[in-house]
Formats: sequence, C-alpha cells, structure tokens
Amino acid sequence: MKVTIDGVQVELPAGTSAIDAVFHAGQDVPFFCAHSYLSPVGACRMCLIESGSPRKNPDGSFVMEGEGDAATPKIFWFPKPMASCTMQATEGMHIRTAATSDVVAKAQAGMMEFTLLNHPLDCPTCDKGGACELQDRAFEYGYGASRFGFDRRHADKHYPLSDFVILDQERCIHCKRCVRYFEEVPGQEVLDFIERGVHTFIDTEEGGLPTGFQGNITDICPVGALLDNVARFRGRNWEYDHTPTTCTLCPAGCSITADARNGRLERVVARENREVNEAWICDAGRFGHVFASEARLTKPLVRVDGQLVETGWDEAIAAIRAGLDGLNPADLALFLHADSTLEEGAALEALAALTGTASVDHWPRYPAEVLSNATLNDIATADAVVVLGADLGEEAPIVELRVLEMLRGGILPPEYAHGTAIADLRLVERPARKPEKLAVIGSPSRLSGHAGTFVQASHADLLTLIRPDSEGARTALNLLNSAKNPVLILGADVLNGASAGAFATQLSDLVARTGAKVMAIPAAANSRGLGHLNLVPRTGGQGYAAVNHTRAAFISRLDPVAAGQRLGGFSIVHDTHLTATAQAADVVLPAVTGYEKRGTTVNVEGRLLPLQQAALNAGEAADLIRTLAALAEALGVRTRIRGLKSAQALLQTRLGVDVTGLPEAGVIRPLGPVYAAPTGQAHRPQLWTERMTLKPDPWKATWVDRIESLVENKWELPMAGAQTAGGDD
Amino acid sequence: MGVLEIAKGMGITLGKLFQKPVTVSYPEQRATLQPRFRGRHVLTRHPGTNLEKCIGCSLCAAACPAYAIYVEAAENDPANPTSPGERYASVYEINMLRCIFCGMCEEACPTGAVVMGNEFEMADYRYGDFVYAKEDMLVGVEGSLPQRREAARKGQPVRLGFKVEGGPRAELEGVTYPQ
Repeated sequence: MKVTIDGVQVELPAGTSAIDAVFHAGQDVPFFCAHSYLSPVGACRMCLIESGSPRKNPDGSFVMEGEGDAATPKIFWFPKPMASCTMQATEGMHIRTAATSDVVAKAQAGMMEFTLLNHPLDCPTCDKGGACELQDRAFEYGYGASRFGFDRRHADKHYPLSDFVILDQERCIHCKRCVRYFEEVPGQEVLDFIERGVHTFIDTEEGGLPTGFQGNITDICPVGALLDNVARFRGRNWEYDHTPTTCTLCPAGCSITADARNGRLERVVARENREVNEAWICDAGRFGHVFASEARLTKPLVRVDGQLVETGWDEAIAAIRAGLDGLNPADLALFLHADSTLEEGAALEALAALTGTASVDHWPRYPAEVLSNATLNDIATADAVVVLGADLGEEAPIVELRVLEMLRGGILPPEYAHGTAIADLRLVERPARKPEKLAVIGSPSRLSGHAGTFVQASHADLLTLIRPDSEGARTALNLLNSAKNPVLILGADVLNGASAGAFATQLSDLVARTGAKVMAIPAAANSRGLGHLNLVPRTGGQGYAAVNHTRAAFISRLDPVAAGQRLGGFSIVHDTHLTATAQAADVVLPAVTGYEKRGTTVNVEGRLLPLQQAALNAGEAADLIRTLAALAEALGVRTRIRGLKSAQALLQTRLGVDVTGLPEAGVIRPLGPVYAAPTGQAHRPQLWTERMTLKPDPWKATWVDRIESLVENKWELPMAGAQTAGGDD
Repeated sequence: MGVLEIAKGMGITLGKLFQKPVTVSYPEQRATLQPRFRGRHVLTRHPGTNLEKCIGCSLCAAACPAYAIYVEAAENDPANPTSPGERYASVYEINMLRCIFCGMCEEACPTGAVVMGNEFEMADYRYGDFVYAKEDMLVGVEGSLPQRREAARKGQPVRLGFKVEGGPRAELEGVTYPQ
C-alpha cells in the first residue's frame, strides 16, 4: 500500500492508521488521546490532517487528472481536516500535515486553544512539568497566547483516587486514556467520566482505585492530572537521573526507569518493552521502591561486646577472619537471595568451589527443574490458558496482564519506523472478552474473577489436571486439548510440591498430549537464571532451610530470623537494611539494592535482561561480587572474581553467554543444565513487603479521610461548590 | 612643550584639590549603589498574607548558569501553609561562591519570589558559610551571614555598608535599605 505524506511516498502494510503513516514517513502530528496499547477513540481531536484518496469510475479505472502520459489519479480531498488516529490509511491516499497545510496548522492551533481554555497555568508546581505532552505540543502547535479572558474552570486540585494516585481535576483534558486503560488492560471498570462538557471530571467507584495496576495511569496521563503520590514534589523531571534498568521485585523482569535525585530513588516509571511488559508495570514495582532510600546500611557493622558497632571494611574483614578462626573455609555456608544477578551467582559459585563448602543455596527456589518454554508474547497470543496453582498477582503480576490481553484477543500492535504503532485500529473500546479461553485452578485470586472456568482448590497439583475429578477440571483439560496454541501456567502451589521424577514425567506427558507450552513462574526475580549455576546444597551440605545447623554462614540479603528460623554459628550477613537477621549477626556488611547494581537477570521466560546502576547513595555498600572478594580475603583464599568484568568473563565460559552489551529489551538464550535439590521448606510468594510501603505524613489526606469527608458532606461531589461566582459559562 | 603646558596641568591638579572627592571612606561611610545593582538574593513574601512567594518550582535552579541553586519542594500543610497553593520550598539554598549574580534566577521565577537585592558584603572564612539557606535570604533578614554573626557578637544591630540611591527596586517588596 502506497501512501503519500506531505509529498513523500511510503510503502505501508494494509490496516495502518493515518497517524502511523504520518510518523512512519518522518512527519509529526500532535496527539493526546492515542496510545500504542489502547484503542484509538479520537477524543482529543489534535491529530487533525487533511487527507484525500483517488476515486474510481464505474468501470474500475481511476478518475484521472491531466492529459496523456502526465495524467495521474485525481485526489478527492475530504472537505475538512480529519482525526488521523481513527482513520485508516488506504491505497493511494494523500495526507497533508501542519508542515505543508495551513488549514491543518490553523485547525490544530484552534484545537489547542480549546484544550487550554480550562487548563490551569500551574506548570511550575505541577509534577508533570518538563515531561508534559500538553506543554510540549502547546509550545510546538499552539498560538502562543490565550484569547480567553474569563475565569477558568475551578475544581478540586488535590483529590486522592487512592493512596498512590492523586487527581488534579482542573488539569484534566478529558483524553480518556485512564478510563480506557482500566477497561481494556486490567479489565477493571472502576474509573469513568461524570457530568458533561467542561464540567466533566473523572472519578472512581466507591472504594477508590484497586491496587494492582493503578499506577500506570500516572504514566499515560498526557497532562499532570493523575500523579504519582509517592513521588509527589520530590523533584522536577529534568532534575532526575534517569536510569533504564530492570525491576527485580518479581520474575517478570519489567523494564523500568529508575529516577534518582541527590542519591535518593524518588520515582520508578515504566519503560516500553514489547516482549515483556509492553508499557505497563505493577503497583509494587512502581510505588514499592521506598526502601531503597530509607534506613539503608551504609557501613559494615561488627559485634563488639554484644553490640553491633559501625566500622570500616578492613575492620570487618579482620572480624570475619577472627570469627572464623579455627574453622575450615569449607565450614562456611554460603546463602544468597535469588534476586541476585547472574554475575553475583557466578561469583558465589566460584568462591564455593574454592573453599570446597557443600552448604550453598539460593532462596527462594523450588525443589525441581520444571520445563518452561512459553514466552509472555506466547501467552498474549495463545488461544487457551490454564493457570494451575498460581496467584499471579503475588508471583508475577505482568503475566496476569498478558493473560488478560489474551482474553481480549491478543492483539500485539505492529512496529513501524517510529516504534510501536501509535494507533492500532484493531484495538476497540470495551473489547469483547472471551473468559471461556481461561481456566484457573487454585485459590481465588484477582485473575480467577476473569476466568470462564474456576476450580477452587486449596492445594493444586498436576494430577488435578491429569486425572480431573471435577467438572471444572475436565473443562480445563478439554480447553488444553482442543486449543491450537494453549499455554499452561504453573505457580507456587504446584511447584512447591514438584519432585524430580514423577512430576517431570507427568508434565511432559501432559505437554505431549495437549501440545501446550508451559510457563513455570520462578520463585524469585532471578531464580530461573541462578538455577543454571550450581548454587544448591551438595552431598553432605546444609540447605538454606537448615541455616541453624551451619557452623558458620554467609547470608546475602536473606532474612531467616524474620521467618522464624535461628542462626547457627558465626554469621556474616550481607544486607541493605538492618533486618532481624542482621541484628542477630556477628558481622553485617552493607549491600546494594537491585536498583543500583549492574548485571544480568533472567526473567520468567528465560530472557536475559540487563540491570543498570541508578545514582543512589549507599555509602560503603557493595554488591555481592565485591563482598565475596572481601570474604575470600578474610578466608585466605585467592579468587579471580573481583568485579563485574571478571564475573561476566566467568559467565561467558560457564554458561556460554555474552552478557555484556545486552539489548535493553533482553534476549532469550539457552543457559544449559539446571541444578535442582530439595528445599526443605515451601515458598509462599508475597509481592508487597512492609518495607516497601511509604509511611504517609500524618496530616496528609488519605483515602480514608476522603471517604469520611464525603460522608460528612452528604456525598456532595467535589465539582459542586468549588465553583466561584462569575465562573466559566 | 613649554612652561605653559606644565602650568595648565598643575592647574587641573590644583583645581581638583578644592572639589568634593568622589571616593567614600568605606566602611565608615556608606557606599552609594544604584537600585539596579545585583547583590545577594532576597526571597520575598506576599505582603498581605505574609506567605512566601516561593513555590519550590526549581525553575531558578534550571535557569542558573552556575548551578548555584538547590531547591527541594514539599507539600503545604493546608491548615498551616508556608506558601499559597500546594507546594512550597522546604529547602532553598544558594551557594554564593558559585553565584555569578547574573539575575537569571530572578528572570525565571514565575512568582517573583527570588529577587536580586543590593547587599554585597558577604566575605567570610569557610566555604560552608557561603551556602545561604532560606532563613538567610527571606525578606526581613538584614545583612549577610558574617554581618549578622558580627552583630550578634557585638550585641549591635547589623550595619550595612551601602545606601541605595532612590531606595530599593519595587520588586524588592518589603526590603528597606538605608538611603
């Protein structure tokens, strides 16, 4: 299909929207309401263009213009400018943007004037200022001056939709992105427009926004109407250090941008990754970063006369050497958290080989290797999904969004020269969902409400599917059998009980019978990657569950004491905070969080994703690689792995992958054999932990306050009463 | 070249002897400054409500070519606001050693909160003492940090070593300088 934009002819696939045609040709059109992963609705009317198409005679030939060989098909122009986001480009279409058409430029400037009529001029206090689509487009396409001499609309400027999202009703330009987002992406009809005309405002149903994926509306809001309350007034957009990195709170591995200012992590926003998280992240990933800048350990602590006192690394190494005096290096058990990077895992594996310890473990993990070959895009484009024993909201929330994407048709927007399609015309508002394509077996969860088949089972295992004993389970098995591209998602309930022999056979039988792809949700952010390194207890060694039986233990960012366990002998704790375990330790070494590490993590699909270091102030804290080098010094062994580069070189020989210079979207590479061993305890996934929640200022209005004020004011809506005399009309 | 020329020159010298001198014996006498002189910044307040004009928007810091300004904002307590609106500057610092007194901050300020005053006597001993915080610049604070320290030590009021011809500019709301 050939389309001509401002005189430039481009070749485009059929079905392309006019707005994508314009951007593909390198031209520009302003827009507010269109969004790559939402249905185009043409609400803001900013993307106006002039367009025209050739017309055919009754005999099928084109209506021509000109004489002889110079004759070309005559272009019949639409009488008025058209919204390009809702219009499909057609063969031979001609498009004129503001660059070549005065009519379009005037129409866009006029639309901008309408949009700005009631938009308050409080850019200096607005958190969106500097990264605001309205600000930028008004600068590029607006008149530059206002002719509106009357009072602007006045409404509630501090209206909490939840404890995380604040709505400024004056700033809203009614693009409807947030409303469409909730309807189309998480499938929650919780937000809508109320009233008409300039009085229109958005509000939630009673109870506020549901926790889960609400934070995404602060990203997609083109103005400063919906704002992140955790990052409220923490800095201006140009003041943040933006670090593109990967979230390590769950195994989904969403692409995020960590925004730091003055050594504090102030904000996390979603970054587009078409393969993993599209443009969305969960609320835990967005708002649960508070711990990275609060109460951090910045110096090593050593126990002197029963008290932990701050000291330097050299003194801490000396204290470790003294504490391990009389012990064999092989007696020191090494345990690490499974959200550590591949490089850190390789460094620990190398140190374990040097000391010869049999007690090595990473936690959380599951006891057996489980076949897992589905990608997140496979889930989105599957025609049937069965979720077995998983609470995806706690284990990997983005997987839940991709399952919901599958229910509304699994349409992945195509890619053009300018990136993901801005308006994919196949996406429709209030899409018809097909709940019959989803079966959930397990405890009730957010996702089970969307499932056509839900079998409540306190303990789900593969046998529930293989030998179905209920109507629901039979439906689920039939769903897998009859579908062409089914995906089976296995969660903690199933994987905790998986054993090496029988489970693998059952699963491979089921896969062979149904042709399903399997996605086993790993226990922690990098459990899947660390499983390829020998980080499980060897013969005669203690696992993490038996930490109290070790003579000496090095524990990196795990908190067994808080989980009710006791520490054994001499213990060295490497952690970011003074946890219960750190308080009981003999030596505490400061660690860095996942936001300030460089390295590689492996997500639920087996995708290698890069981590970058955000500019956070962590004092003398060190990542596990350098901490292990210090530990090796205390143990008197010589390790080659002393930094990131040597660890990456080791990974190259160990796993055969080059993790330097990974693309930001990540790549899937085979990583070789998996090491598995019994765990001795079950893992209960929990996404939100206490340290991730912000303690609100006591005077700040919370969600509860708002409900109380509404009750006092007899449920009067905030638009009423807020108006002043001589107002808008 | 003759005696006449020498006499002419000596005549000019002699004539100056009987004119009023243009030099002032600073600091005993006050130096005369023009109102447009750009000296130490003043953070002004709204005259009626006495609320700070600064809303903590950081635009002065963005405009500053010397990166001398640091602003941290916070949300106003509605019952006891520091500035009108939702936002105020909880930290506002200018490093007077870095500042080149160009006045770009004043130009960038959307509320007219930061205004270049006329004070210039800021010489001090330690680097850290050149970082002026909000309480050193808010309107009503007279004198620079070393001047106020000296005044407190002597138990005397701050004495500014200058006067402003015609009084301070209108932008310096609430500021009084000796005339």
